[in-house]
Amino acid sequence: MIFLLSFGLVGCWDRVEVNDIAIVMATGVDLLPDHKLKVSAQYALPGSSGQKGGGASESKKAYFVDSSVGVDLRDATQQIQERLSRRNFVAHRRIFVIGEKLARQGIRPILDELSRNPESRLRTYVVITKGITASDLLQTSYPFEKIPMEALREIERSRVGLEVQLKDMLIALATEGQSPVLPAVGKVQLQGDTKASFRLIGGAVFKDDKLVGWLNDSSTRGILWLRNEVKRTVVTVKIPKVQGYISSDVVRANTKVSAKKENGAIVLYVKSMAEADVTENTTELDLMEPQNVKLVEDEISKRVNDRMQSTLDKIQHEYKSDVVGYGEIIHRTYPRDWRTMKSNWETGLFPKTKILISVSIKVRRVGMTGPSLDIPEKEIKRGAPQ
Amino acid sequence: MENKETISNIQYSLLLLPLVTATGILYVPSVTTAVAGRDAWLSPLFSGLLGIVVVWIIYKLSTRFPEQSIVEYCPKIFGKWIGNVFAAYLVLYFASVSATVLREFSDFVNTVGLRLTPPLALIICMVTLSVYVTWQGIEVLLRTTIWIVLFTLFIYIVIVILSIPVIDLKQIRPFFENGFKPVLKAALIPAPWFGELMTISFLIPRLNQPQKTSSVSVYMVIFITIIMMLTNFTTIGVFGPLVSRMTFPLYELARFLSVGDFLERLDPFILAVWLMAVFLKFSFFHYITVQGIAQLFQIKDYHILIIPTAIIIVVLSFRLYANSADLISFLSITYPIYGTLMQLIIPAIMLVSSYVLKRKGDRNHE
Repeated sequence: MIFLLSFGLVGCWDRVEVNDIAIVMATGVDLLPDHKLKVSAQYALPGSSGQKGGGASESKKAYFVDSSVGVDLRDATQQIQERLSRRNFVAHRRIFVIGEKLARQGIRPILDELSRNPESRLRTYVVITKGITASDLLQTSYPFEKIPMEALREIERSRVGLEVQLKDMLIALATEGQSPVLPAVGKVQLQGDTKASFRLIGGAVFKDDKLVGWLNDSSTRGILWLRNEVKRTVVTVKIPKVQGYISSDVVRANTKVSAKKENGAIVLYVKSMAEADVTENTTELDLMEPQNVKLVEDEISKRVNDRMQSTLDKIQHEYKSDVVGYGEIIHRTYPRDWRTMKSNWETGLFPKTKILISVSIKVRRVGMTGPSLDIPEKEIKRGAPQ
Repeated sequence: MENKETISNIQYSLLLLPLVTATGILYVPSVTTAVAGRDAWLSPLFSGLLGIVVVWIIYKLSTRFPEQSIVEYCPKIFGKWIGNVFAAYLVLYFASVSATVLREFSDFVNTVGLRLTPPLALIICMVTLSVYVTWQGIEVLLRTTIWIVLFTLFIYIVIVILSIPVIDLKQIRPFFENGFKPVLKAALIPAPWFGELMTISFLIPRLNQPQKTSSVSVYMVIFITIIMMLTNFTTIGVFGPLVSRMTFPLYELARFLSVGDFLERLDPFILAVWLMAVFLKFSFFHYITVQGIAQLFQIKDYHILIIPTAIIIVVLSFRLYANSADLISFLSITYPIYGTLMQLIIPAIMLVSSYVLKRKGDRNHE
């Protein structure tokens, strides 16, 4: 009996050996003029994708890209599959790239396959290309990583810009009165390198499932502040009437948004708090002096406040798209009012809603020195600037 | 008597767990959120109350007819003809639950794991196991239960703890956005899973400490309710509005989790423990179907019925549902009504009539 049963353990219909699969690291989708989709896939080449063995020779790439055209994702993927000696395997896919053109037409049609396919993961990062096509992006190499899209994943994870996983985007799309904002990726020329590379360039603002506009790096950080997603950032400010600049690491940022009804209208209050560590001081201010620290605090808070305000202006009035999910805050606080508001939220009500921002950033540490060590004693400004 | 097998209360209570949750935690989050939205995590609370009612009715019946199962005392309450028709109907119901569990198992494995493996191959593996266990008797099943359930619980708790960092409590609020009604309506969906606890009727006669049965059963129903609520809560907290559109939200959750970037894709763990839990549930239902048939036709040795019953269940599992959409619509629309009839209404009628007609089992074994 045991002997017979053991056959059941070893025999397996769906056996797939590692050397039978082609590991897809990233998939890119572009819209062609004839409304067909061009699907490109970046594959990791086995045997050369390890982290070690530095000094990768240019002749031996660790990845290759193939693309094909079809009416939907599956159709195009199948076209690629027919040319491959190994089976497409998307379970390790890191990045899903959506071409700018397709994004403008609406991304909903391509999203179904991503969640229906049991191999595909909701943790995959999603990016939009800016200025190039998705298939071009996949062809682009990156100096640090052997597999270029691995770099994009690491960059997203470091949270300098937006970090959007497939799950987050699907939730934003599925929630009424909310739109996704995705990181935008463009081609850049890295200095000292002959070949082009890519970097995150701000964010791509959607309205429902259509791309409506871009945000620059500074506004994208504004989005992070508005959504309470800031992990760590550097803010550089100039103190009025003082020469030089002060830079500080902003840490422990926390943004709270609350909705209140005032005279029948709903007003949103955005309160941001954070701590700052001064890391560079090119002014003559002595930061051991409390009143100087106060000046720096005010300036940093004002700077962050301005950034949030300008971002908000952009999404409220220019794009009319609630990518920060403030509609959901009203939904949570006033579920009854929301019922009538939700259908008209993004285009009609969101641009008109009063949103008040207040930022309070406290300087906690000023680094290893009070005044800069290189300034002669008499030039150090101990008191407040006149 | 040929079955002198006895059951301890710990074994008994641990068996109740996979009986409800094995298939429940997989399908319930998505079908309840489809009705109650983000409030669905509360729904199992009310299903649990129904579960307690079912358990109480069965317990009361068992005290009136000690050492007998529902199939045996059914004719004693309603008389030979009507009683046997009811009993036969109950046995058919057990067979259909077995078939449904088998189908849920093969559908799930075919969807998430082995897509090219014919369902029959999977089903034969499962049925071979259950035939073996049923052949050996309920005691063997209960001994395996302890280890499987503890291991399953461990994996489940790990999954829940790991998902704490990704839970977004904002997804849970606002509470009762559409009022209380959808929550109650959604509570009807997991109710039949709790109602399947009526099968304890086959276990109670064998318990070695029958005086503790009622409290142990109620504690277990509460525990199961907590697990169901926790499952709904975590999946909604992580996936928000997406839960209702997923087929297996808990499995998606296991796929989504990542521990410090090196431990990812915990789905094989879920799959492994789930298979074991389903094995328990299926074997138990196979066992009681066989027992039911034996008691119905007063067959002394139930062993000759094991393989024929297994074949009937396999065939049923293929014939009952056309595809997985059919299965899910059965689970979310038909089963709440069908289940309530079989698990709540019929036993309730039995209990009431046993009092009205003053029918009682003789305590000749005590």
